[in-house]
Amino acid sequence: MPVELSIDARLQVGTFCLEVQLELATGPVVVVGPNGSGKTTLLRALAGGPVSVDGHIRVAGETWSGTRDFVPPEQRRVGYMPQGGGLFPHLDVLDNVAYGAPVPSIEARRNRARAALTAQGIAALAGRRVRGHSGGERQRVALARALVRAPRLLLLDEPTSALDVRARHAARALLTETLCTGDRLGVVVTHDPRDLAAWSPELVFVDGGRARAVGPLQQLVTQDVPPFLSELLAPLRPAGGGIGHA
Amino acid sequence: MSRTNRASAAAGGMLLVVLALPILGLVAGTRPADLLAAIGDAGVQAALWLSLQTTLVSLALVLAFGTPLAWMLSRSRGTRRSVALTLIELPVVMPPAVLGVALLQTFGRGGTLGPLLGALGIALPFSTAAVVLAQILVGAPLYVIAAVSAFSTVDDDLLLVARTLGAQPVRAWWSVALPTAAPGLIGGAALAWARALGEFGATLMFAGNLPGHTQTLPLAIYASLERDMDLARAASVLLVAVAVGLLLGVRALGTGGIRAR
Repeated sequence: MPVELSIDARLQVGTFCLEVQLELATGPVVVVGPNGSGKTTLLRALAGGPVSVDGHIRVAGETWSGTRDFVPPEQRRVGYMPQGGGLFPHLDVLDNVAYGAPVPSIEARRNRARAALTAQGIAALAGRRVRGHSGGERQRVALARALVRAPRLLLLDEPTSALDVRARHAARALLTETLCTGDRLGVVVTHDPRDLAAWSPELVFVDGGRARAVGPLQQLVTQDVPPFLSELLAPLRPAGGGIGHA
Repeated sequence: MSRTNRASAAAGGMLLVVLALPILGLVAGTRPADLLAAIGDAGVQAALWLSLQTTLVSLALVLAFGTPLAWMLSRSRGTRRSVALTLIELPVVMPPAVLGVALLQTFGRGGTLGPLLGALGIALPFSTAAVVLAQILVGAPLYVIAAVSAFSTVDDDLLLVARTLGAQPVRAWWSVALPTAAPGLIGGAALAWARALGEFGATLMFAGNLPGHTQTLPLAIYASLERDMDLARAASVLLVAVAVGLLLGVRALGTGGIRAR
């Protein structure tokens, strides 16, 4: 069953403001836009972070943030992976993943984490400290941790940036499997056209204090779009068939 | 080695010598027999015991109240934050003598709050509580300042991740913010403890020098200066040893305790 996401709200952090109008039912969803436009703020608001929401955020018919309602992050069933992975530096790899496992005892949580690491092919990292791993390994651990509660909404902030070419390729392939499963909506921030090519997502464009859905990728590459999008999508346009402002 | 490096090494080396010299002189000038005598001295023992008790109480209070304050300040901006930080830094720049006068003027029998405290049956000056209060005043700023800067490095996104992983706000703070900031907190606590242990001026003026009640080890050293220089010297070495021991112990705790969940 697809997860429906509906946002009509004014998000505010300090003096920063973002108007969001979104209705999304199919995924994956990729959020694009210039640096500092508010992409991360949008993800944090969806996760239930410190963002004031004037309006509503509804997921699968349930109001998560609204004028009267607020579902705290721990009850939202979201997986949130901030830029760089957001691993807890004081815990080893196993305990990072075990932290969120939805079972009571520490031993059961660690067993769950061991299984999750094995599923990602990184069981060997279990007892190691978080520091000193390659970017690709950190991303895998962070993803395993974000998935350990079987989230309905998966929020990933630039999961393929800051990786070398090979690790980026592997991360992209891994995410292609993860983002496109039946009962989960994946929302990903990225600046990389190759991510778009791999996932053929619905696009959300954030710019000038507004966030809006602009349609599926296949459709956008044949359309006239605003300059930032046009440049981002340039490598993906069918040869000779592109139109745009570039 | 470049010329600048050599010059820095020379200047830095000189400062290190100046810093270390008084301690070395003190230790070198103390006979082991005097040290043993000091350890066996009932007055020194009582003073050391009082020092440990009062500094433990003041440290516990500083941690219990200073940690939430530091967390709040690390998450706030604007005037209220700068006013609070200035208030916290004030005792650091106040000379101990001024602090002593201020404490007497505020809490003394004839002081500003004297009638109120009198009516409540509380007599602070020249009590063990006065010793603790003076220690809190000089120690708390050091801890809170260090804790604010340690908490400031805690990424809000880490807390949000913890929440999305099922943690209630208190558990997220306890299991993520606190351990992430732990090295800085422990360093601040060690400084505050050492400062409280060495507190002398304000204690002497506000709490007096009553053996068994307000005479901490620094005051005992001061008291024995005139009648027994050997004892004063040996007690000083003892105080240095205790302070260094505490610092090293706290450091060890810092590197061993960070992994606590």
